[in-house]
Amino acid sequence: MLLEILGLLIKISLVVGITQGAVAYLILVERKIAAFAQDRVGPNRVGPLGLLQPIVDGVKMFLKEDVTPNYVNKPIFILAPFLTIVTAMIGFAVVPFGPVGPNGPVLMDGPIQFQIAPGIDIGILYIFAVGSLAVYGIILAGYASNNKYSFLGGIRSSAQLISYEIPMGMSILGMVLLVGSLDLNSIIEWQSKHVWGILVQPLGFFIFLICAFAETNRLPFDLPESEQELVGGFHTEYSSMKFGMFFLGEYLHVITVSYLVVILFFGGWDIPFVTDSAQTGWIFAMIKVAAMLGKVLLMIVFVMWIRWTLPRFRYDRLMELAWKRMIPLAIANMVVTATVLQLVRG
Amino acid sequence: MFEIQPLQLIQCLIACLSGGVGTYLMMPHRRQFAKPGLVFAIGLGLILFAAGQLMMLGGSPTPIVSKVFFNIFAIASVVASALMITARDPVHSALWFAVVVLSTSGLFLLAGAGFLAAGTVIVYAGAIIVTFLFVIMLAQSEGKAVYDRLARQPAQATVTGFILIWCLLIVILSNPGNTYFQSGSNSSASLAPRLIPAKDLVNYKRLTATNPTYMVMGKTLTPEITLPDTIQATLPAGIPQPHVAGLGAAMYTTHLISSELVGAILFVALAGAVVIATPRVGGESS
Repeated sequence: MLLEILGLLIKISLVVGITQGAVAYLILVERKIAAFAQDRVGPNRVGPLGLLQPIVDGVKMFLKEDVTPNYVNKPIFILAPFLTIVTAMIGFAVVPFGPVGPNGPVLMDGPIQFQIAPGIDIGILYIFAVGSLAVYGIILAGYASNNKYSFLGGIRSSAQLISYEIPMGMSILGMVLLVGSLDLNSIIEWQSKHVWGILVQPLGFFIFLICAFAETNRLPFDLPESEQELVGGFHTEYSSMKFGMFFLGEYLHVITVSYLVVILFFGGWDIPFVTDSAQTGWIFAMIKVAAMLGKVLLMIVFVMWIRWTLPRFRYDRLMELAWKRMIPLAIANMVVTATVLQLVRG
Repeated sequence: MFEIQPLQLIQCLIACLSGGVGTYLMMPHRRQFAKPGLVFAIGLGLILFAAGQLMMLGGSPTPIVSKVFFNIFAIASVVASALMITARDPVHSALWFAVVVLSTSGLFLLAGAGFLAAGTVIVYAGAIIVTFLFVIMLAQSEGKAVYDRLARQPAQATVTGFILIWCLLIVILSNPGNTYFQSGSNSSASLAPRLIPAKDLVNYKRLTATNPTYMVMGKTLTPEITLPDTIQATLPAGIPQPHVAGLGAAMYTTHLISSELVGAILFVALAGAVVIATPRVGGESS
């Protein structure tokens, strides 16, 4: 019992530490890709190739003056960035970072599970539940700032987030129907046994990807920020580490969403013809973890690449896309999948 | 019918009385003045006392970790619900509502109902309360309205509410078939059979007439649930039915008519909203 709790705490601190560190370096990657897209050099002064830049950025965030304007609603103003970061972090509790099950590499008295909370049979619903709370950070930041630009940004953003949650939730139903489970590990295992999700659910993948961009507030859906019209949107009044928390939350969402895309549609840890869920031992476990990490990194680079490819949507077009295109398509995808499954299974 | 122990009856009475008085003390004043902090604190204390009484009525789950979390969630939900109805700022009210929903889904999770917990968070905290916030923020951009700052007839409202709570408590405690509240067991194995017995709103004895429609309906109401073989085969032996599959099976066999009715009502509401929102031809809006 005590050992179990200790192992759990170690896992949690590992995941928290690694994801926070990864976020720092993702910002560097983002800036490098931005520089590449604009034919610049990018940050290259701090350390070799600018590799120490994230540390300097972090120190800068902490050392800046933390301004809290007089006219804000103080408790909510302070609560909002914390909510953002907490809702972005706790989603990782059910994300499998590698193989999970009885065949994991043995350490001390049992197989290692590459997941903080293994054996939750509603994993994907949990991620959606936590993700649906992320909107609170933004809407409260906009409200508490007591500033019309922040307020408009917050309102816009919450409308966008709750609109895109619907097609996002529906787009995964096809995969859930195929696998017959809401457990992320079962979904990976099914893909390992059969084919990757993108081959059987191409439309679901397409809808999920678009909604994922909208849910993470990334371009071309970064309406909540839109520097030109709203100064900075919901975080106009925030400075120092409070602003840093919103930033951190955004990149954590990018990581979560990339993991979800890989788990749902790119087979998770699966490499076709190489791995299957019956393999044991350290070597295969490490191969699987590395495969998953590699796919996630590719996905993140793709997200950052899109940022410099597509311009921002107009607001009414954005809402139209969600309600008039994505939702009917997602419903059609679900109905067709259910019908075909019923016919095939008999 | 009322197989209730006198001690429990007294505890119920104390809990309801102290909770009611506490809630009344925390209500906003009739004449728009803020109440002194001391009155507010006394009210909160009385509500906490009532929550403690209620927790003594039912047992809490056995492992120590579950017990700690159960107590946290239970107290949080009671206190947050009191703060929700007594907050003077509607935005704060909505946020306390979110706290109530989150701690309630924590309790669902402890009872082994993970699907219900996630669903509650997605639907209530993620969509409905956000829509509330949305409307509140758009409706009043400056200052608080008068009707938010004063409580109309706080005494009558409190008395009515706590009479309802009293009735619910008596029914729960005197129902001999209900083992959950009394023993406080929380394993998912004991939960599965509890989901299945149907106390449906349709009394299906009335439906077993000779009418063929009713016979079909009677079949859909049979309380036997078996999962399809395709799903059953994937389960390891000795493990109870997964909660999601059990819930789905219960919804589409035992409670079929209720689910269909809910679906129909929601669909009517949807159609109505579209009709109301669509601009009329030749009207002033384009």
